[in-house]
Parts: sequence; structure tokens; C-alpha cells
Amino acid sequence: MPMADIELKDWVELSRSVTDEDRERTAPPPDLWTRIEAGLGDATAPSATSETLTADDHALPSEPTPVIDLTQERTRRAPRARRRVRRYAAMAAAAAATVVVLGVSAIIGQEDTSSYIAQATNAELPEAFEGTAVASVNSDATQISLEFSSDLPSAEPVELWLIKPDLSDMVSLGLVQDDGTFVVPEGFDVSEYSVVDLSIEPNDGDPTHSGRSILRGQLQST
Amino acid sequence: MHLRGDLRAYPWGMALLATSELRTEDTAHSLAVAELERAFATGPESLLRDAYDLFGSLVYSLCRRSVDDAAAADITQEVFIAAWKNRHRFDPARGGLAPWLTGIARNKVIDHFRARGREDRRVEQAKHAFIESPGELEDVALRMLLVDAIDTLPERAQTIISMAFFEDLTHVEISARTGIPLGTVKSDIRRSLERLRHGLGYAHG
Repeated sequence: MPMADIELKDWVELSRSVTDEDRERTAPPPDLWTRIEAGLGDATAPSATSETLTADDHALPSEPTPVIDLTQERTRRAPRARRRVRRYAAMAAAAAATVVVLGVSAIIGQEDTSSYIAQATNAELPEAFEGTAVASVNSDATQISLEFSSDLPSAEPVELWLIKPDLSDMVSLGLVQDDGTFVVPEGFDVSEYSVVDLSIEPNDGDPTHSGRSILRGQLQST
Repeated sequence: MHLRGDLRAYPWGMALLATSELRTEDTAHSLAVAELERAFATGPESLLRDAYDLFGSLVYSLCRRSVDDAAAADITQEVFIAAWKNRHRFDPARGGLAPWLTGIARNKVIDHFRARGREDRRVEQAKHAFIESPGELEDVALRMLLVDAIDTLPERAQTIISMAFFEDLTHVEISARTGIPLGTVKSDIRRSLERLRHGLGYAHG
């Protein structure tokens, strides 16, 4: 819930749920700062992701991307998939999905720092969700921001995924409750993992995609 | 919780009745945090060390709620490196550095679980019985941030907020019990809630 909307009674409720454990603070191990400093060297180097964004990647699509039938894509998938990908069957069965591409520059307006943008919709997805999302990627393609047109369902967790259009691989960016910014995991290029997908993920201990997508869209370079 | 009637039992701020001259100024801690937040996006690398000194324990303690100590240290390391890498994204107008960092931490813990889940899901499932699942971590973070945010309010505000939150007392009742003028109670609560919002939330653009 956005903090600005939180009312006094919510504060009362939240404070009463505080446990002794919530008050416990443990100092990190003494060598941790040294490790962070050591890691900063790598962090300031230009990332491989930004280097792979060539001029071609930034060209506007002349026409909408064709509808991708995920069921068909499933069968064309290379037999040796990476372990990150599981449960294709469930996902593919659930998702004979239409990928919708909208005019790009019109959406982004003042957001000229975005390198990629997608409008995610529920077109032909199995789970009923009335709403859309705009996904925009920051200029160095390290983060993706989501803006929803309406509240997400709250009964079960919703998870954000980036998926290769040919479904050969996917990666989770974490759970989503509201508008927010998510880090694109290192080693994943949004020009390759260009399908933005939001799925209902029941708390069943299974970290793979449930197949229950509620929104999906194709990232386009801006 | 049975806090009614005994100020010494309040978890936050119990010096109210002992002092006649009440402090209203910000604590040194909150001034340091505000200064850091203003400069973080564009300042020198030494600011990351300041952030680590202020919030390293918070991030590490939060991670320890979900993963073992070694993994918590690894994730804390990742959080501060990611924070520095993305420092230009931080905007204090959207919220505090602490909730920004715990938000990154939560995502990193989820990544950790997902990576581990791919390696040996059974082990993770066994562990789930004893620890906070990543999905619960946001609530844990919110409660931990609340503890810290109240802790760094000026003393009088801590006491008033504790009475409002824990005893659900009205402004008038708080004023009557403490002898603090009603207008002061109201403005303390209003200012404190602004501070708590900033300390607990970060609105991503």
C-alpha cells in the first residue's frame, strides 16, 4: 500500500504486529565492508548489457510484432533448456497469448530516459485481470519500472518475469504488489528477454512460472 | 501488549515524564540520515560507507530473517553494491534510503531463494518451515523500519506516537494524560507521521 495513503488505524495495526525479533539488530561480519568495497570495482565498469544495445536495437518497429503462439513456440524449443526454465507445459497450455505492441513514443511522453518500453495487457491470457501495465526500462537497461492502470489482485502473489520471445528461457524479477522498479538480473539482456510477463504465483514452494499469466507485453526499444 | 498507564513500559521513549524541558529538535541520527539522503545520488563513494554504517545492521538483520548468516552477508554485500550502482535512481522525495535499501534486499533474497530452489528445492522447502518466506519479508521489513523510524523521532514525539499507536488514545486523551498542550500533541503527531511515511516507504517512479 502506498505510504501516503496509510491512515492512523493502519499505523496502530502495524505497530501492534511488531515482535521482539523485529527489534533485534545484528551487526554484519567485520570483513563485510571490505568485501563491498572490493565489489564496487566491478560495479563501476560498464556493464555488458548496455554495450549490447546497438543502434539497431533502438530502431522503432515499423509494424507491430506478429502474434506469437506460445503453444507452437513450445514445440520448437531447443531440447536442452537451461535449468532456469521449468513447467513449459503448464505455461504454454495456459498461454496461447497475443503480444501487443503499441506506438512507443506516444506512451513514453516525458520519460525520455527509458531505453525500452512495453504495454502489457491481458489480451487472451487465461486469468481475468482488468487492467494494463506500462513497463519501461531505464537508460542502461539495468532496471525495469512498472506502472499499473489498476490495483493488482492481492489474494495471491504476483510475479514479474522477463521471457525470451521464443520461450527458450525466462528469469524472475521478483514479486510485484504495486507500481515499482525492479532490477534486471545481471547477465540478462532486455533486448533478448524482451517479453514482460506478470503471473499469479501461489505460495506452493515452487519457484517456477505457474503458467497463470495475467499480463504480458513485448518490450520495444525507444 | 499491556502498556496502559505506565510510561516506563513503552518500548520507545520513556523519558517524557522525567524531563520538564521537552526536546522537540531532530535527533542527530535523523539529521545525518537526511544529509546522506540529499547527497547520495550524486555524492562521493564515501557516502556508501555512511549508508552502510547507518543501515548495514538493518539490511543484514532483515536478511537473517530469511537466510543463514553466510547467505545474509552475501546478500548484504550485493545490496550495497547494487545501491551504489543505482544511486542515481535514489530520490529522497520518493522516500527514505532505509526503505529503498530494504526493498533491494527483499528482491535479492527472492533471487537467492529462486537460485537455490533451482539447485535443491527440497532443502529450501524444508527450510521454509522455520524461516520467513521471501513473500513475508516485505511485512518484516516494514515492521523493522517502523521500529527504527520511531526510535529516531525526538523523545516527546516518540512518547506521543507510542500512546497513539499502542493505546489507540485520542489526541485529547494524550494531552490530558501527559499535560502536553493539545495543539502540540496534534502537530507532533502530524509531523511524526510524515517522518514515519518517509522512513517506511519508497515510491518507485
